[in-house]
Amino acid sequence: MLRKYSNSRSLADNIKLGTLTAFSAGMVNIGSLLLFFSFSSNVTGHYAILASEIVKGNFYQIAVVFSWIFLFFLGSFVSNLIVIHFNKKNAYLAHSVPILLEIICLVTVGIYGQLFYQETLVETETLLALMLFAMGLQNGLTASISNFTVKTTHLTGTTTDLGILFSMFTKKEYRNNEALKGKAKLLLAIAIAYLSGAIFAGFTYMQLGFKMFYLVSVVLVIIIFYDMYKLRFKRYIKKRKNIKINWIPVKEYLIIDKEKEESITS
Amino acid sequence: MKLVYKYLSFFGVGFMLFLVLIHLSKNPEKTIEGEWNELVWEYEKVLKNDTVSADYKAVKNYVKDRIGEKLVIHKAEKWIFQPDGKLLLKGVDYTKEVNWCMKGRGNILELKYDDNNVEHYNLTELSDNRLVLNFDTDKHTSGIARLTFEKIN
Repeated sequence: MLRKYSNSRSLADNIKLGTLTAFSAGMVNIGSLLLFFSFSSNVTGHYAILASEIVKGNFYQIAVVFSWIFLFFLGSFVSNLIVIHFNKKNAYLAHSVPILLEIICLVTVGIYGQLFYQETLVETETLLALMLFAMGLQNGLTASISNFTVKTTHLTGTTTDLGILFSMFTKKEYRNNEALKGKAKLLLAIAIAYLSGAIFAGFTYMQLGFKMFYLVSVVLVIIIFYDMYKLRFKRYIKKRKNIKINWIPVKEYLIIDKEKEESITS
Repeated sequence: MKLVYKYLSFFGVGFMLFLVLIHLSKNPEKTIEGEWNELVWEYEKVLKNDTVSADYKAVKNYVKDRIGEKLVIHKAEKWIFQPDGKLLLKGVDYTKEVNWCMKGRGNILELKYDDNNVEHYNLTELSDNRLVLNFDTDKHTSGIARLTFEKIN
């Protein structure tokens, strides 16, 4: 899910990464909407709000919304910076670090919200800023490692692409095209996962409150550990094969050695 | 210029712009503090005939009674926002203390009362002497209502 890069990724890799990250983004977005009355995973609306606040001349709101957009941008920047600079040294680590940073941001929001939040405006805006940075990190990572195929924090592009694909499927030549069918499957999976995450957050918000962010972090931990488990499992299988291969010569060597011993004693 | 400096200056400009904007502005939490007097209640779907049949003196009172009957702010005429997060709602023979805070980018006013009931209002306009609140009414009278205030202290 995280190890492979760009064109070496399979459709299954992208679907797994897409569904899990979209589910967490859906949860974060609805969580921020219910707790802070503002979206945190999509910035299109924030651009519209920024424009309207500029028209009204509300400097405070302009500063706040500008900083939110800027932090989403910064998140994406940091994510891709890590990927392109450390990808060759250790792809798995380079792809995991942005997710780790995202987990740190979300756990911080959860802990602060649960223990220290006094509901001041500055706190609300800072926590939202942290969530927008986290979503920028996630979107930057998924887009970067999947060659811009997987984007999971907003659904504007996904819905547009799905509309285009579904219209293309009215023609037989496109209907039988495996690549297009795969893309439609991926986009549908992302949309459904995002919606499921949002609905789940909506239902559990009253019971969980800020603890919801720990749950999102668990989903992200699964993404990291899934690949770690696969890597270790593969290494283990490889090791076992090596042991089996080497067993025969060792056995033979022992037999030969024993024969030598016997001949010497005789 | 080295690439690193170019990037640093780009982010620096963004950060400076944020600081300048914050310096030029006033926190909405500070602007709202003080005493506000209710001027008018408006409702987008008000039927003027109702006000005649119900013998209301003014459309304002009719709207307030119809829309605000289930809201904690219903009996208030004077709102006093205190810096400690308390809001005093004062009316004729009526005083109630509730908690207030702002959400979003300072565009949502949240009121919490003793039994943990919460009401949300959109802060459509907030200046040194004028405050406009909008809110969605319940299903019974579905629509958008608007309250306008002037600052008196």
